[in-house]
Amino acid sequence: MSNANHPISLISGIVVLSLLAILILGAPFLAPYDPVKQNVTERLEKPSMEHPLGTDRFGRDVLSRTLHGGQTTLISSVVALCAALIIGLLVGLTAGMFHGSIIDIILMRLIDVLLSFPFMVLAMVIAALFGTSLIHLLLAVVAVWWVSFARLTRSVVLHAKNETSFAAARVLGATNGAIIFKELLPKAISPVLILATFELGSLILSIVALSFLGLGSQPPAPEWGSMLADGRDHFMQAPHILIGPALFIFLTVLAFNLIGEGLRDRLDPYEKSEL
Amino acid sequence: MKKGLLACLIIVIITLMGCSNNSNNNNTASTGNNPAGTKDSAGAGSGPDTSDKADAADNKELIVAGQEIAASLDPVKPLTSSYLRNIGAAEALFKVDAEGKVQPELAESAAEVDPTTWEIKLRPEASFWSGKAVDADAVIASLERSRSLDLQAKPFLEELSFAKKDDYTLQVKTKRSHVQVPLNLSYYQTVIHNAEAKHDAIGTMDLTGMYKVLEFSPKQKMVLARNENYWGEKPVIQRVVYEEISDEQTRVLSVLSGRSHVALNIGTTSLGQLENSEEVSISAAPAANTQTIYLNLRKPQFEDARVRQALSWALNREELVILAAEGESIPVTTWLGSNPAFAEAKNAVYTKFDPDKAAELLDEAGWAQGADGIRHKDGKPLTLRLMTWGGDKALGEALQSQWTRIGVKAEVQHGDYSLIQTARESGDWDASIEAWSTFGDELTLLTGQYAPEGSANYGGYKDAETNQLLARLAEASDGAARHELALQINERVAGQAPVISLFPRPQITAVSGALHGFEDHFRQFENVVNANLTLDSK
Repeated sequence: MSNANHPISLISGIVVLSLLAILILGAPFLAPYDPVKQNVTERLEKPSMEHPLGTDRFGRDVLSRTLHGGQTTLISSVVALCAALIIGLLVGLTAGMFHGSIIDIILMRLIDVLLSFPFMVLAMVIAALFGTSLIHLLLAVVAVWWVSFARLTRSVVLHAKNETSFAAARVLGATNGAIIFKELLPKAISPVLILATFELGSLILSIVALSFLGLGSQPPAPEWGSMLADGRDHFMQAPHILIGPALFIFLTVLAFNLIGEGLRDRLDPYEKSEL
Repeated sequence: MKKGLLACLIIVIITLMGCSNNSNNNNTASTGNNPAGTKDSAGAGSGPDTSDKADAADNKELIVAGQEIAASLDPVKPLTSSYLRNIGAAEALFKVDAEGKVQPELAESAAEVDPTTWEIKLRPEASFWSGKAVDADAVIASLERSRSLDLQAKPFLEELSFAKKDDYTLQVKTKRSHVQVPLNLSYYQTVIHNAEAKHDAIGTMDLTGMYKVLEFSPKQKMVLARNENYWGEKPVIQRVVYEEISDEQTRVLSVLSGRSHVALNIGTTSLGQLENSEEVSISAAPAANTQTIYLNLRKPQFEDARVRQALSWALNREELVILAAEGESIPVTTWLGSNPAFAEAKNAVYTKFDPDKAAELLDEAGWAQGADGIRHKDGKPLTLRLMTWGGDKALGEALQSQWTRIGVKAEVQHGDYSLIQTARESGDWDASIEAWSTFGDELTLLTGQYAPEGSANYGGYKDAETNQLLARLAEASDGAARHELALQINERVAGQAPVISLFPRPQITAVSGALHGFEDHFRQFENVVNANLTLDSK
């Protein structure tokens, strides 16, 4: 679909994401109605000039809720991704740096355990123990999501340790901290960022799925997953309720996947050599 | 010639296909065995083909689609008696009518001889399917069997002891005074069955109802035929099929397509489909339970009764019924209001939606509204975390919105019921929603809810006047006095507002336009079939 010279994926992804970002971040100014204000006289209205995406069972404007809901979904996804990225980088750098040591062995076994643990179940356990909230959902997601970043970082570090620059740094007496942050981290950043872009799409879908199950943000906060869950109850009566959140989820995930693919085309040396 | 051969070939193919279908149907019918695994001769091959549209010709067959049917034929097994009674197979000594009044069923009459003794006269004409008389010995044996084998029957029978006075008169002794024996003996857990019979097969089970079980596939289908020797008014419809269709949408489609005549337990979200149908009507008799907000009175903000009263005045219950129950219920402002026997309690105390009064009460209690719209007292905001579960998420959101309008910072936490239980045990909760049954013995119900030791007194409500009224209720001898005292307690509690009553849970049944004589009942789950049901012949 694309190559380094014609990054169609990257450009189209950025365009779609930019449009979405404008709509979502500009929700306080663009949304025509208060997303949480109930209006019993206008419930389950079909799309019209007043309500382009109709209204839900509480008479709330679906378009306004979709735009505001995007903030909750996107911001929480980005926060979760950043947290997972930082943890993953730190763990991966440490494990790679001290390859073969007891630290490495413990961290790798922990990763093996987490990789085999379904995060949906973890999220449900956390919700059952501490209650349902967006914070608890993010904790569950981050607790599992850092693993893939840690593994990638560790493999990059192991590869980098065979390079002459690493040996030179050692010979020159650089401390472990200096080697990790000045020598290894810059090398790990680029592949990890490419992975992060792809992971963001999956992360959004996962957060939406958990919110759909009622484990995420609580009423009346709009959120795409919970909007889909609420709309499902009225699917036969008012299917239009689902259009807004479903379309925005689709476009957002598509945009991140296109950007991820574009970035990989540009930054991944193996991908370049294949081309 | 060729045309003739082709026609013959087509006829042969159609005939073969028809045989194949018949053979499938026969196989299906023959799988309708009893739970013991013994094949029932009456059922084999005689079951109706429910894959076709409901056959209503000459009132032949009524098809009822339920969310669940019995897993067993024995009335002492969990919920079996409920399903058997619902479909006209089983009867108890008494029955509660749609107005909430206890009426004789297998009993002819009942009288309180003294505070701890009742005499129940039985109908001499009543008999079991086997022809055996429903006499005092048979009734006592049945009730004793239920008492010893059915845990669910215990609450209704544990205080009672039975003795035969004569062949058709039963003497019932009670441990405490003025127990409402007829009410206790009206619950489905006390249905009368022949205790000498084996209730593990169609051929041996022995009940008294207007319909006899013909075919039974546990948790799938029950086919019943009219009991031609029934002691009472014989039903018009000859046969009833009771099918388990666990998926709600399938039940809706079943009744919309004409495959079933009645679909039970329809959710409010399916109403849109049914409302547009000309063939199906909706029966939505409110159930005798009240959606109630239980407040934790140990929390400082709810210690002041004025705050609790304000929360109740601030609720627009009509709007709540529309938003949370799709309009299929009625607002009630006091707890007993959902019980048809206490219809006068529906709109007592909180006679109208009055947000101004709510604001006034909060001002009086020292909760002043700040610039952010939230009320504060001593620098603390007026907060309320409402815990909801199951299908009450929408109700929680609607309540949150209404309380926010009077300056309460309301939060809704929707999750599993276990979370609410855990929160209650730890004391870390503000409010939660539950819907307890409001039908039954007044003293038991009200003590459970509002006595300090009551099992449903979650919020720790302690009120001397309420306790005094409960003590008087325990001593009250006649029905009218008990009724009056129950109303007084109900009103007192509503005034103190440890709980806030909203509306009875909607109970929706879809009924085909071809079926006539269907009766709405606040306990619909055991009152679907009656003798006067008829079906259109087309």
